[in-house]
Amino acid sequence: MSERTTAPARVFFEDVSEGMALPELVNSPITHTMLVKYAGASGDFNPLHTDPAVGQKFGLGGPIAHGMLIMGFLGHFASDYLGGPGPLKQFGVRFKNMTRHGDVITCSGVITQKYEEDGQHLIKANVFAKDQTGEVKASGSFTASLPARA
Amino acid sequence: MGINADMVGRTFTLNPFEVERGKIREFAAATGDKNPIYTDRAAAEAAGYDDIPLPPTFGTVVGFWALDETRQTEQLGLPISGVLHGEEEYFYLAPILPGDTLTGERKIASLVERKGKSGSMQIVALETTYTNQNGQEVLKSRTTIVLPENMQEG
Repeated sequence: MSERTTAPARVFFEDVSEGMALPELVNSPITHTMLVKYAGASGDFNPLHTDPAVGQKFGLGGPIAHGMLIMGFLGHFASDYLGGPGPLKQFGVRFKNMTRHGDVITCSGVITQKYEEDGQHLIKANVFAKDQTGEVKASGSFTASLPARA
Repeated sequence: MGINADMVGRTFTLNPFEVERGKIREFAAATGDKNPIYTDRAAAEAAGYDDIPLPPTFGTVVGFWALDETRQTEQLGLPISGVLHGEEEYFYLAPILPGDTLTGERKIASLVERKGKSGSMQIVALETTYTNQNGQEVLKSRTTIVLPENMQEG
C-alpha cells in the first residue's frame, strides 16, 4: 500500500494518450481486520464478509471480501492517477470473482479514448483488479474530465 | 422467493444522510487510500477542492447507512440476504461537500429472469438518485444485483 503523504499531482489532457497504461496500485493483502473495518465504514454488515461460519455455511470456504472494497481499491487507483476524485464523471465495474483472505489485489488500467465534447476534455479508461494469480476480481471503466493547459 | 415483476418502476426514499468529514476519513482509511485530501482540509484546498472531497465509491456509504432495510423490503420487495452484487456504476453530477445532506430516491429500473446451469436467477437493476439539501441532483448510482434461486431462502 502506498505511504502517501502528499496529494497526487494533477494530470492534464495534453499528458494523456490513447493506449497509455496507468501506474499500477498494489494493495495490502486482504485480512479479516480489513473486512471488519470496511464493513463499519461502508455500513455493509452482510455476515458473508465478516463471519467465517456464515461463509462456510454457504459453501464459500470462508469469508469473502466486499465487492465494493475491490471497487474502492479501483477508485483509489483512478483518483491517484487523476490527481483526486474531482475529474471523475462516471465509474462502473462488474464483479467477476470472489476475493478471499490473503489475496493481493493489484489495480491496473489503460486509456482507451481521448476526446472533446461540449467544451470538456474527456478521457475513458478500462480498469482491472486482479489477484496474485492474475484472476480478474472486477473490471470496468471510468470517464473523467481533465483540465487542459491550452 | 424472488421479486415480482410488478415491482419494476416502484420507488423508495432513503433516509436523509449528512456527509461528515469523520466518515469520509474512516472510509478512505478502510479502502487504504492515504491521500491527505481526505483527512486535511488545507491539503484538499491546495488540490483545488472547496473542502474535503468524497472518495469515488463513497456513494455506497450513503446507500447503506441511510437504508432502512425493513422498509425497503416492504416497499420494494427486495430480500435482505442471499443477494449477490453483480455491477456498480456511479455518475458524478455535481460536487458533494461535508455538511451536505443527501436524500436518495431508489427505483427498481429493470428485472430480468435468466436460466443458468444451476437453476434460474433474477437480475435486478436498482437506480438511486441522490439530491442535496438545495434540491440539486449530485450523484446517481446503478446497482445490479443477482438473486440466485438457491440462495433466496438465505
